[in-house]
Amino acid sequence: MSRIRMTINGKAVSAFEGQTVLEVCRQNDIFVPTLCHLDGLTDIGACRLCIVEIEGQRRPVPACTTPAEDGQAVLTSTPALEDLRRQTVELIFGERNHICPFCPRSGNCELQNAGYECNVDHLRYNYLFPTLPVDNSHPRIALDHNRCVLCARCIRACDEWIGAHVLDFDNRGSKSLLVADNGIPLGQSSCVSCGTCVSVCPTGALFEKRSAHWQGRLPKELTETICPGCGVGCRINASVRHRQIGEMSPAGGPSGNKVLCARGRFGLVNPTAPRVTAVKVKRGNQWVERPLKDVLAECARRLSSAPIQASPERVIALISPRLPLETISACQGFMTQVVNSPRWSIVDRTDATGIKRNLGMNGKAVPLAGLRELDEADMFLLVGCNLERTHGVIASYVRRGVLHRRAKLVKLNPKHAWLTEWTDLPILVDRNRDDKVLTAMLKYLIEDGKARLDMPEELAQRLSKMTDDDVTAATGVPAAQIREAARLYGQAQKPIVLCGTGVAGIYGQSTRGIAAAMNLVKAARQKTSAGRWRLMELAAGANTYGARLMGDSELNIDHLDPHSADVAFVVIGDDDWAWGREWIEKLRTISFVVVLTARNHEVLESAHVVIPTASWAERQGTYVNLEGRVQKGCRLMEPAPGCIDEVAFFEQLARAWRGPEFTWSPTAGLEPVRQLADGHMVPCQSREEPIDLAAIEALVAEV
Amino acid sequence: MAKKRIATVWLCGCSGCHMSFLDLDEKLIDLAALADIVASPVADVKEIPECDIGLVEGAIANEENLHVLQELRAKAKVLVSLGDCAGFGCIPMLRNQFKNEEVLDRAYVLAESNALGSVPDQEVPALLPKVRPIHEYVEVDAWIPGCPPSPEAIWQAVSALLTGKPAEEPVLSYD
Repeated sequence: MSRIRMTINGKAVSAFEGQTVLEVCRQNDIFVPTLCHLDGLTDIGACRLCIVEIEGQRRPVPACTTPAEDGQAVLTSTPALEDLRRQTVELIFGERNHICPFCPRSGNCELQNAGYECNVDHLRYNYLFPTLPVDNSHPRIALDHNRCVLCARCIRACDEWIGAHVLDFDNRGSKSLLVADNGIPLGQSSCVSCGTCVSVCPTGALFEKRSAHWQGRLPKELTETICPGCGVGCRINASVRHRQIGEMSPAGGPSGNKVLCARGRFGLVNPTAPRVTAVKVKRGNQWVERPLKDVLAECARRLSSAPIQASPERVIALISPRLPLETISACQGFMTQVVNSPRWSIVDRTDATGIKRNLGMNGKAVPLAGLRELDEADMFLLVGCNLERTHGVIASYVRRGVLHRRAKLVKLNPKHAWLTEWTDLPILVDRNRDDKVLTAMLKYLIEDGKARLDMPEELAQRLSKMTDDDVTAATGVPAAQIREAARLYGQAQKPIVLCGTGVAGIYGQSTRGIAAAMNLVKAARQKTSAGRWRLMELAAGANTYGARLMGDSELNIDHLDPHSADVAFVVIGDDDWAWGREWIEKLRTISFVVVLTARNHEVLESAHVVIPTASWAERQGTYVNLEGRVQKGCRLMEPAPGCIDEVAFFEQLARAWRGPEFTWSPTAGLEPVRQLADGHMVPCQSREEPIDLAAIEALVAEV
Repeated sequence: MAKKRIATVWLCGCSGCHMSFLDLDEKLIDLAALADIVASPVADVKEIPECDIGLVEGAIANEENLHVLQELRAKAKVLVSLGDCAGFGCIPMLRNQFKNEEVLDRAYVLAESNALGSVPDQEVPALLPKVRPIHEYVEVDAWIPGCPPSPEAIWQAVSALLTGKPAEEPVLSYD
């Protein structure tokens, strides 16, 4: 990129070739009004507000689509430009039915601001008064065509950021109409309900129904918090007044993510279950309110029982991975320091002990790919993922990669139809054998010279001697398909393997799938520029990785034998994640179950004590996302009356049980991230870990 | 210096602009020293007298609105559009999405609260085809947008017109 020199309003500035005139203006703090421009979207020069005069050009040109050139002399504000801009704004106002006083965007509207900027106190043109519909069919989003200025920001964002391209224009000129799919109601369209169109709309044409009636009265100040919904841990901005939360919008941040998913934007603020409001104890089938002091005494009495004194591992704890690290740490500390039981776990099926072995976690870091790598990938290998349901934001990354960069898409064990027409290779495989498919891919990559793996001679020979028939028999998948998958993987420069909760072993006795995937990226030497492995493991909770940094115990929730437990602490927050019936049944056999929860939850069926705690919006603290990035969230509001902080609960319980002199540290688990500032990555452990030979053994053993 | 004469009219609007005018509070005393209000919705004035300043609240929706507007334009030296309805059409303009017959039916026949059962053909002024802002009918000298305009915005404009001192840069608001 060569540097160029130009003048703007007579001031000499320098710029890079390839920049637009608008970019150069912004860079030099020269204000140019815009309406259809949005940082991060392709400019289309639709609104004509950013027109500038360039010496030697016969008419004004839009700054957003005009490339900066060496020697250009640009004027951004002249009487003629001001008048043209004012006319443009008046024409936009007159084209449709813009009525500010009852619009939810009023006070925060870019068209309104453009009107103020251009001193529009009335329109010099007659109104057109078109009769336009309002599309109210979507449960969360309303589309009022009367307020649409045809800037196409929603169309571009839906296409370029979300890769969904649900929205587009029908018709032409002032008759253009924003339509979903082929002109069907938005609520019946292929819309993924991420709400990005609402965020990017400059006016009130697209707005969120829930908050529309109070949005205008919310303070302008935004509070940044972390979405607990999945391992991506998106940063969210929201404004709050009188405990009412306005529109949730993406706050960006160092991971570079610009979007939210349906769960983050709409799900968090639309909880269905009512709050738990008081400390209660179950008497028969009835819940009875009791003072906390009595409940603590009862807990202490249970913990003092002879069987637990003899073997403390008869106490177990299950913790939601969607809670701040401070809360998880207190619970973990109580278990390991006060009870002396190693049997605590976060409730996340991706709590794979295999990850720790294969990646050398050991309290260090997760050297896996980050979100930025997803935007470089030229191939996605999806293993056991249901991305649209579990990780909507990652689904957007994959969609836009496949649609815009023509990244290859290979799906192993696809659970549902998604991007079907864009899938280069769907491989149907039995859930417990996808690790063998991955290892067979590795075999073919080695044969093609695309991968190298140091393994015992005897094992290498057995692997290479496997015929295509052997592979087909061992995996249940035609060998030709696996060869093709290996070929696509070997061809790709920057492939990314995405492992979801459906990967082999997560439900079984080990984590063979993750191990096999890790072998694959290691043998193919697939590292990112940051030295991280091109593998992403789709953690279910915003703090799954945070909990692992604390040395998550060996307890895998799927292997828990409830008969070996007498007391269980279940810390939920307001995680609405479906735990599955088998879990409720397992807990039912434990004689004393203490549930700390913000809302009514199906787990309460098996509970004996319930303690009310704060909801996600009332919490603040530290999270570590699936990139290994430390994130700090602020609380949007004070905890509801009667809520008991988990940290305080465990501290009081320790005193009630062990006596006031007993000392322990609820924050000990925070040690790995204590010094790290918001946005920083947990340091990556660089040393090479050995490959997992067991995963290879598993394949060759089939012969 | 002789006191100036101000006339205000309430056309198709909600009277909110006049409420905001009354919210001038203690400044009304200053205003009384500078001007007389010679016509307003709360004064029983049959015919608008000659005046220096005419303030118009509301859009033009029916024949009577138009008649009053034209009368005020003829009597006022300076005509000021007060609020969003007069300046932009605003809420009354919502009517333009429908045919007049539909609107009248909704109000006089279909409305649950209405015992009349038919559209009156006397005493109620006939609707114009579309609701329009006032400057689409008469020449307007100044606009004070806002729904309603803030008392500060009204005072800024009116005091400037009364004293002849230039107004400060106006702070626009459409809501």
